[in-house]
Amino acid sequence: MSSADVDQELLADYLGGALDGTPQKDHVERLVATSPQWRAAAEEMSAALDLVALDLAALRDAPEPMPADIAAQFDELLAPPKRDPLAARPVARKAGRKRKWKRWAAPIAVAAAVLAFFGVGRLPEVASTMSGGSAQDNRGTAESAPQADQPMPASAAGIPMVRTGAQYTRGSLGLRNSSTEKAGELSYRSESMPATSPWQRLEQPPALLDCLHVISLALPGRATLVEYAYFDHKPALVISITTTDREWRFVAGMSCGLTGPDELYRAPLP
Amino acid sequence: MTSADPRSDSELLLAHAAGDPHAFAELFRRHRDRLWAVALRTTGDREDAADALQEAMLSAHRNAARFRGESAVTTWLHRIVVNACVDRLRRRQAHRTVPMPGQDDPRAHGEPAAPVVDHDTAMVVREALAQLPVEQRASLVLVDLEGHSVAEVAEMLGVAEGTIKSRCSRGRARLATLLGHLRNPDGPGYVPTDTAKGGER
Repeated sequence: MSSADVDQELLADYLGGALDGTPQKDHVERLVATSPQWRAAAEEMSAALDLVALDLAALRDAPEPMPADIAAQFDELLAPPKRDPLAARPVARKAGRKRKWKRWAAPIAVAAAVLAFFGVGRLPEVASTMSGGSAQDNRGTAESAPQADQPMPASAAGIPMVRTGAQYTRGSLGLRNSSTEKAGELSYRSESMPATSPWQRLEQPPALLDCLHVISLALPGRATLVEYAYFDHKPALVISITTTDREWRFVAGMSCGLTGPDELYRAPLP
Repeated sequence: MTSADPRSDSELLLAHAAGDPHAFAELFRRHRDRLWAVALRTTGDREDAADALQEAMLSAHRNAARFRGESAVTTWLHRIVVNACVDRLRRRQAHRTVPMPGQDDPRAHGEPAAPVVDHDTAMVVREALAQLPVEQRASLVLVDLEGHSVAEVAEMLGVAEGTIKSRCSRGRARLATLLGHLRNPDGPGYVPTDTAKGGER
C-alpha cells in the first residue's frame, strides 16, 4: 500500500469515534491492522491526541473572566430603564446631566406611559428638521419628503423622516454624530431607489406608529428621525432616538410592529 | 459567579418574559464569564466576541418566551452564543483554515513546533484553537471546553451527531499539528496524505 493512501481526516474520524456504526469503521480498522503506514500513523495520532486532550483541559481550566470594561458595558446595557421626567416635557435639558446607558431591559407593561414618553403621542412636538441647520431653529418644519407627491407618514405625524436608501452596516451605523446635525448627509438618493418601495408597509402611518410604539418598549426615548434605509443590504428603518443618557441608532426590520420591533441592531452614537 | 438572587435560571428567564426588568440582567451576570469564554474561544477575537455576545444576548432577551425548558438555560444560552459567533465569522469569512496533518501547509514543514510550556499552555492552545475552521472550533469549544455532550451540541448547531464527532476529531487532529504533537510530514516515518479529502461526514 502506498504511503499516500493514509487519509489523515479519515484516520482522525476513526480515532475520534466518528465512524462508529458505519462501514467505514471496519474499512479503516482493517487498514490499521494490515498496513504498517496506517498503523504507524494511527499510533502517532493517538499519542498526539492524548496530548491535545491535556492541552484542551488546561484551556478549559483556565479562567476566562469577562474583561471589566466589557462587563461594565453589559451592565449598563441591561440595566432597567429609568425615565427622565424632563423628557416628557418639551423643554431644554440641564447641561451636564449625568447620563446612563439603558438598553434591553425595558419593562413590558408600560406601553401607554412609554408611548407618551417616546413621543408617539405627541409627535408634532418632537419635530425637528431634515433641511439642514440645527434642530432648534428648524423645529416643527419636517423636511419635505424625498418624493414630494407622496408625503412620508412620520413627516406628516411630526417626526422628521427621510428616505435615503443609505446602506448601513454595523460598522458604519454609529459613525454619524447626530442625524439632525448631519441632515445634509441624509439627502434622498434617487439613484438608489427601486421602482417599488421596499419599505412600503412601514410607510403607512398606522404601521409606522405601531412600529415606533414597540420600539419605544425596547428603547424608551425620544425619536428624532426615521430614516428609510438599508442595513446589511436589507430594507430597514434606522431610527434616531434620544434617551436620557445618549443618542442611539435603532435599526428595525420590515416586520417592525407586527410581533415586536424586529430589531436588527442598535448602537449608541459616540 | 455567585448570585444573591435565589431564583433558578429558568425562573429568572420566565420572570423576564413576564416583565421583570431585573431578571435578565441577573441571569446574564450569573453566567457572563462562561458565556464570555464561549464567545471568546469561538471567535478568537475580543471585539468579535463582544459583538457576538451582544447579538446573542439581544436575541435571548427578545426570545425568552420561546424557551420551553427542554434543556438547561445555560445550554440554551450557549447555543445562542455559539451560533451568533459562527454566523458572525461565516459572514466575515475571517477564519483561516489549517490543513490536516500532512496536507500542504507551509507551517507544517520543518521542525515540529516547540512543545507548549506549562505556564502559557492555555494561551498557546487558545491561539491554536483560533486557527481552526469555525465549525470545528465551535464544536470543540462546546464539547471539550464547556462539557456538553455530542448530542447536545448536535442539537445546538443543528447538525447530526456524527458531524459533531467528525468536527471534533478533525479539529483535535489539526490542533495536534499546530501544537507540535504530530511530527511534520517531512519527518522520518511520517506518511502524509496527498490530497485534502472530502468534507465532514
